[in-house]
Amino acid sequence: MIRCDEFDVYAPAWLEGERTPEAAGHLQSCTRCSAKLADLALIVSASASLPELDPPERVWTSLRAQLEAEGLLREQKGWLDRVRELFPARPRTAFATAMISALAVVLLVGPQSPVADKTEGNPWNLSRVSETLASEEADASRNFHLRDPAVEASYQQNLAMVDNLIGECQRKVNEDPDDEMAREYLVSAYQQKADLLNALSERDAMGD
Amino acid sequence: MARPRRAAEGGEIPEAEAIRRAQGGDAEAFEQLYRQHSRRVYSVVLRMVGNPAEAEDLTQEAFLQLFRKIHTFRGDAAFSTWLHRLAVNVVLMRLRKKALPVTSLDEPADAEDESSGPKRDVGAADPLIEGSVDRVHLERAVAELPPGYRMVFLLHDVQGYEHNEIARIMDCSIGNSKSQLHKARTRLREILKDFERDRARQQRLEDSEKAEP
Repeated sequence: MIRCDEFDVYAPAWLEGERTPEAAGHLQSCTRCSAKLADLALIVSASASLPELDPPERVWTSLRAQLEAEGLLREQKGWLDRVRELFPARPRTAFATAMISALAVVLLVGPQSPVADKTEGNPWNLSRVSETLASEEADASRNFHLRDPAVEASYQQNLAMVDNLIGECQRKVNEDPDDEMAREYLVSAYQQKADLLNALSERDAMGD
Repeated sequence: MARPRRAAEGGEIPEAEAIRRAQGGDAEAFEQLYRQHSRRVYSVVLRMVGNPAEAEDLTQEAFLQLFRKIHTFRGDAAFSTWLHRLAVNVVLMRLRKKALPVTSLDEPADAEDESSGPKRDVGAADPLIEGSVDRVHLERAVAELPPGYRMVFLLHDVQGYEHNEIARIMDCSIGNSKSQLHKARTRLREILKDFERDRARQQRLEDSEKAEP
């Protein structure tokens, strides 16, 4: 039969669920150690439900300011900047550049300009631009592949956002062809899409 | 196993990805990691130093060190364990500066026992704690533990770390972690019984004052 001070060696393991004949035998005959063990079990149980406490928001505010001061944080960027970071800046393809320049002239100068008259048929040949971009996009998805799933997901997400923007701008231009702001936004949106498609081809060439 | 962290909320990315992005300086990733771990760190720091203003400073310091060194994190240990190790070191450094008796867990335990008051009479049977442990009393009792006992107790019984994780966090052996934990629990029991005796004595005093004409 073990003594009380010897039982103290078995007590921690007993509280973790480990049972030994020596410890069990001692507990059967010793009310003092039984009482102590019961108390310790209560303490363990109560401790597990002590609450976790949230630090005040000022801790994060101050921490963030310190991280910025030390230059450890990159500046927050909008979605387009994040895309540009995924896809390093590269010159646009010649075709995309020419197309968007022509579109810019048509949209910004207006339907009466000599340049606009040279576009096939309807000076507001937005549908041709849209078709051309759609064709480029189809080519891109057939021929170029992003190996990193996170980059692929980001590309698809940003493509969807640009397409939504294009759709919205086109609706506004259709409603009011003289709305210069809408035309500028539409040019910018097509520009973004061309950038995206160009970056995809560049990224594929890099093996990403 | 450690208590589960705050569950990921909508828009949060997996921790491994957040760490990778934070290593690149991504501010949102930093913030996500902070939000996910700050509560556990602050909780243990506050219970160690007992002062909210100081706990805020030390929590900030722990995360600052974390983010300064995050580029060195290789994933060979759990991120939470690595962070808690930084936090524990920050706390222990502060306590040492205050000249509080913080002993290494690998020193003989007798040294810490001697510094924490006279031994109680263990010959007679001790009365049981009254069926349950009051949370307020438990918090007070934890605050009275010597720092070394308190840290192991908080990491194991409050935060749910296993002894092998505590050994990594506190740079001690598993055996020492277990030994210190048992001593911490035993000491808590003694402190809680003292609270009960004081409360009973106070109650008797009040009762006798009411009984007097």
